[in-house]
Amino acid sequence: MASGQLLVSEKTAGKSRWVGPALLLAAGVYVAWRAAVFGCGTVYVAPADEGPTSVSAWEAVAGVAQPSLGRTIGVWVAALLTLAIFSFLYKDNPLYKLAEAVFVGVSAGYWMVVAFWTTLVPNLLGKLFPAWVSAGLMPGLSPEREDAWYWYFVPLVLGLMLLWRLAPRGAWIAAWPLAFIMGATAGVRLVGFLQADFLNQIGATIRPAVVLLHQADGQGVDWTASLGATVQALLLLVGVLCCLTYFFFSVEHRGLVGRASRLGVWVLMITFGAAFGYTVMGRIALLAGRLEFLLNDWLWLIDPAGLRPPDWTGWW
Amino acid sequence: MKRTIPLVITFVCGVVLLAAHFSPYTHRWGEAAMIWFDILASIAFLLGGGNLLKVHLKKVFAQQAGWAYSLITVVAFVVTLWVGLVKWGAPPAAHLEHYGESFAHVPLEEFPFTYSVPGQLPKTAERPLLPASVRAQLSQADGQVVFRGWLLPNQKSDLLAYHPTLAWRCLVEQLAKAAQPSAGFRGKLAYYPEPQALAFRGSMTPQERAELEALSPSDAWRSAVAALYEAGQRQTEVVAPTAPERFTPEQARKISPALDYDPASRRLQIRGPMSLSERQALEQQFPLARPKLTADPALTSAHQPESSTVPLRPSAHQPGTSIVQGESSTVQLGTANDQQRGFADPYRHHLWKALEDQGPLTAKQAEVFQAHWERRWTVEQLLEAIRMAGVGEPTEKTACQMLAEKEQGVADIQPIGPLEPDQTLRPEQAAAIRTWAAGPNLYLEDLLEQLAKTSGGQSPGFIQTALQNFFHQVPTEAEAKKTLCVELLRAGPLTEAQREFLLADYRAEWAWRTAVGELFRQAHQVKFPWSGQYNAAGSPFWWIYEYMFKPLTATMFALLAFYVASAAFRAFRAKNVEAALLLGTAFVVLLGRTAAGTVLTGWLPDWLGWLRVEELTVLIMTIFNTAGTRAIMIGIALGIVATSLKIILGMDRSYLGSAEK
Amino acid sequence: MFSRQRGCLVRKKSPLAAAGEGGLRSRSGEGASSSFFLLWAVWVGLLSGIAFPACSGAMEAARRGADPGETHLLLLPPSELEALDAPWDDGSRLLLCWPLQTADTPDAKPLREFRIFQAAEPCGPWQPVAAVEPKPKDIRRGRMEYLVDRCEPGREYYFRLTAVWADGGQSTPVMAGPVRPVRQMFDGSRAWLAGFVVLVSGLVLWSIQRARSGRPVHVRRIAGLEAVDEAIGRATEMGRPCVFIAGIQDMNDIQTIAGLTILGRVAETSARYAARVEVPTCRSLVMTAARDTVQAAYLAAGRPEAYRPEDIYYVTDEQFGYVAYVTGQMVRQRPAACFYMGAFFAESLILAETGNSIGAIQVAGTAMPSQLPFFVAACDYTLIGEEFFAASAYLSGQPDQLGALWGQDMGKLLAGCLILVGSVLATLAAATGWEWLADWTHFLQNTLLQ
Repeated sequence: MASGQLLVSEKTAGKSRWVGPALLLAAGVYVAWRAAVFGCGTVYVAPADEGPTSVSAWEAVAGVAQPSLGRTIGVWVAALLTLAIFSFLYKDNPLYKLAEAVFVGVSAGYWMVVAFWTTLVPNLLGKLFPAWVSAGLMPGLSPEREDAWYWYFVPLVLGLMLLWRLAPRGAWIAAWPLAFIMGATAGVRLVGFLQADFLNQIGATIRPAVVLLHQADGQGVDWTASLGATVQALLLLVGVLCCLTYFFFSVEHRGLVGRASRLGVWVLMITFGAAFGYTVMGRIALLAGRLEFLLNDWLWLIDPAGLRPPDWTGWW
Repeated sequence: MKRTIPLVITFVCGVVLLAAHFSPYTHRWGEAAMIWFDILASIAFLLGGGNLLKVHLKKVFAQQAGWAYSLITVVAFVVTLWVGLVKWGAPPAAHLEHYGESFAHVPLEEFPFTYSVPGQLPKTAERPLLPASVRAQLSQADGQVVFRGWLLPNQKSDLLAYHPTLAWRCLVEQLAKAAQPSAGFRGKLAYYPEPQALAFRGSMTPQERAELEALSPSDAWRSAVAALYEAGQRQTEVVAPTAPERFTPEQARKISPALDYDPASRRLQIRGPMSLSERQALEQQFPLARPKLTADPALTSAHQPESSTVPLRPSAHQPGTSIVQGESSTVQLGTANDQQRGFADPYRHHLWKALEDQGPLTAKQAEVFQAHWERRWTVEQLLEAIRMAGVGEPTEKTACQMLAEKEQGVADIQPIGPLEPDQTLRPEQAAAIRTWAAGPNLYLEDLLEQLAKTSGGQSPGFIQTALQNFFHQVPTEAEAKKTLCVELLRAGPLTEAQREFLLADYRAEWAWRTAVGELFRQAHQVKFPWSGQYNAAGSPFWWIYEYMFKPLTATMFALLAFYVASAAFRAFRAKNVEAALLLGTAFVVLLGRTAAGTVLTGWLPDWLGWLRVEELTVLIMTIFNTAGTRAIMIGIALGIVATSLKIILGMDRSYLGSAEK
Repeated sequence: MFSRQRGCLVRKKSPLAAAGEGGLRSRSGEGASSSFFLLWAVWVGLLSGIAFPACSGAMEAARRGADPGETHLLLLPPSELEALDAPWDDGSRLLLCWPLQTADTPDAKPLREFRIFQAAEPCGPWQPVAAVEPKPKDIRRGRMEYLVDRCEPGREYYFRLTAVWADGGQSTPVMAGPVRPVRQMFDGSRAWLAGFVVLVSGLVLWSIQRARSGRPVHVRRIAGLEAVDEAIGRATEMGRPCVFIAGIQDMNDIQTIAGLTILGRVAETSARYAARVEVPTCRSLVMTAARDTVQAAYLAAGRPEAYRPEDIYYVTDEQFGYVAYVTGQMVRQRPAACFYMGAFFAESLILAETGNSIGAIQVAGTAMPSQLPFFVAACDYTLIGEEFFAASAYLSGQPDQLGALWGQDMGKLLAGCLILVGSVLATLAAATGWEWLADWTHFLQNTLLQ
């Protein structure tokens, strides 16, 4: 795919030059008609203590809810941004670039705000200056200092050192907090992974290689089921050992090791195939979710949850 | 030196945290380190954000290709950051606002009242500090435990949990009893230590003011009392477009002396703040939904006259008028003919008839109507709820009672006392309930009055509680009719007259509740304007998240459906054993999770049942997938151990910027 | 795997085939001797031959013996209760012990269960802790133990034990206390974990030392890593940049650190080839560390003047915002080589497919098992799990780095031996029903390997 996109090729692009714009125009006219006639995408709100709250269209039928301009515009913006992202499947275009620019700016700002209110304020300022924080920024916090609160000066100082790299001189000091992070990460993760991913996995693999199952009535052995269970247990054991063999670095994969390694690769391929197949339905469900937003919340073409009067929903 | 110190820091931190995992004194150091990391990452946002702005602004100012998109990025970033950091448009947190109370600042050290109880503060090596909620107020002096302030329920719970001995818990109970405002001000006056605020519930009368000022000559106290008095005199009013049928000025004053209502101008007024209970009482001025009555010959013959009228709401509701009893819109109630037709519930029959009179109804709508009525509450359910509320519960002994038993030498103290005796509903009370339920308009107040008459003064507490709890979940009749309207519309069309008939009352109720809510908000004294959530619904930050961030994220995620398909198509073209295994397994597992796959192999006999695609999927996942994943995880663990050791020992030091050969 | 046509490198094989060879499959060796398979079959047959016939009766006997059920033995009421601080713990546990005496006297009755209560004072009030039944081995030992957890260090506790008989009656309670749980310096429940940390770390350190002392270390080829140089060379020839993505996690993830170490090597090679490598990052700290890494790499390559800090930049913390930007840049700038080295989540497939659609050569490495299938399906070369952590050692070529790989192999050998020994023990325990074998297997699984 020389053009780098999923669905278009250079050969057909020239011939179908007018089809795309025509389809877009028709879709645009249809959407405009739905909006003008049905008011699709309108969000209704009713007053509440914390401000207007979204309610179903039935409340509007009952006469107690009003359309919200802000939230209605929001639905349309969300729909247009959704279509802009989907357009990337066709090819890169200004609409996608616009959506990408908005996404980067909004998401960067969002996570910074979250970090400020969920980490910096309660976990740093709230530990060092709890009285000040509870008086203004976060009234729910206790104004009393905890035990050993003074230790929180350490991350504050390390953080200031990190920002020192912006200074014209002394930027080398910024390596200290990085050194702390690397050392702490290494020390914490080493033990954690050794326990969870090494020892626990070995322990879980230790099972009887031969399994005997009894009949349902408790009398005698069910040889067929036992044979099946034993084969499964042996396959699991051999599979793990062969996969481990594949990962040997200091031994050439020849001879016995080569055979075991080859078997290990096959088991790994089956593992990857299983994981692949397992996630496909999940991904389709994600797409279905977006389509439902477009067809239900935006265009009012479907109404699976019965949130609107039947005559407000339909294809025309 | 510049390179050595970071290496030493890495080594020391690594070894210390590695060893810390194994000592109970230090095993939480790893969690603390990760919290410190989060703090550092949050501070590092300044670097990232600065870089983002630098890169994009450079593009904008240099007018490079795509500079307009960079400008959009910068604007989106700055706007999101601004509205989020200042919590623009976020209302105060409801759980911190203390609705119905006014606050006045009194520093803790100037609070004039302290209370002492003989005893000792327990000292344990493991808990050197008192609970944070009482630390500033509790102290020890001359064999007495001294508390400055009035003990709040959460403080009492914290103190009870602080030490388990009976002596301490009894001391806390005694302190909780002593450290309270005087009897006349219980439930009205409180002191909150964290904002250091003296609080008064409702509107203070001049007499109360004088009594409070007399309690202490302290200037801080007197000025706080004066401020509370002033706050409680502030008049707030709203105009309610509609009012409940039975709502009068007397009714308003019955709810609260600070409330007033002028029927002529329909102004609802309150002096001082409105509490949540006052608001609830104002909102519950409408008749409850009628029950589903079962056939009861005694009831229908004895209590239903041959011909009586049931007033129904006028179908055309005139704006600007309150709901009054309809003078001309009446319908004949049930007669013997109704009974013959099987209508044991006359109201239900007449509601249906009224709907039919105003337009046609389909058979499906008739079914919906029937189903709606079946879901209504019944008198039997109410009686059962009252019966359950009357069942005796075991009593819990107080700590002082148990301490007294201990001092008497009881060796085996039980925390639970004898069961309370069962309380039952008398036949005349049950009859009163049934009569009320069959009446035209169901007001809970009327029922309570009736029950009080049968009990000679006041209805028993358990009945009142059971009724409040039961009817808390029952909608009003107007709400029930609105629900019915929605259900009928889902089943078929309704005429404008039918809609109006079903919805007019609901609109009127809604308008009243909105007016009450407006009065509640206007009368409230905001305590912590910045206490709300940064992402409170309705705020600009929430809007950006809801209508930009979330849809963009979800859509990018949804693109995976297409990319998975393209990856799978490519895999078809591979021609070796490994690719065939991967593809084949993916195909089997995918089919095994769909109904089509089950159908495709459902014909296989039982002895080949393991080949059915859903069974095969299970086998693949439990054997091969497990084997492969385990081996990968074991390898990863070893890789992480080696990498971590190399970092700790300084063998991997690229982050330092040192040259390594 | 690549040939030159029209002055540029063209991929000859389809991705999976190349991935199978490069990232996954080593050179297939000579066939194993048939004697090996014969040996293997004999072993399995022997095992089955011993196990299958023996199991039927042995398991039946073991099942009868192991069935806790309701004991039919007559027990005397407990005469005493001992409460001790559990040794080598974090101060949250206390150990209760009491004797179990069988007898044939009127005092002795069939037992239903023992009930344990605790209180802060000897007079109560008593709170129920547990109801326990003795196992056959407890009765054989004549003693029963129970570990009370969720205690508070330093606080006083009293305990009371009552036997509840099968007919519903209860014995006179026996008491113990006061006892205070004490926090020890070392957590005994983690002793074996500490041992394994020392053992595995010791193996790695010993192998590093061994390599440093001059012993040659041979490692097999990993084609994916050998393709790094070729990929960068391709980018140089085509005049297009390389893109390096160090994952979407922060510096507190070892995968990110490993990715940055590989970045150092890639940057050094790019510096020598005069290729440009662009590093968009998903975290601010990663940007900081990546700049230092690349700068050091350019210095090591002798081209510090070619270092461009603007090539390493922060995008956004949000994973899909990041990937939206990166894929957009990939489609517009059309890099010739893409490296994905680090921790990834769902966005891995988007990145890999976009790279595929622009014809870039892609080398991926991650230790996220859930994302490996997508990289394997879409990338030219994939480093799976441990190979990714070994990559930096491979690329450096330094003896002590390669020595660490030998230590990792010893760790895998240890894992394999533990699995084999454990499986044999478990099989024999199930086959023979011998309690000591079951105890050893239980010890191995639930104590040693926890």
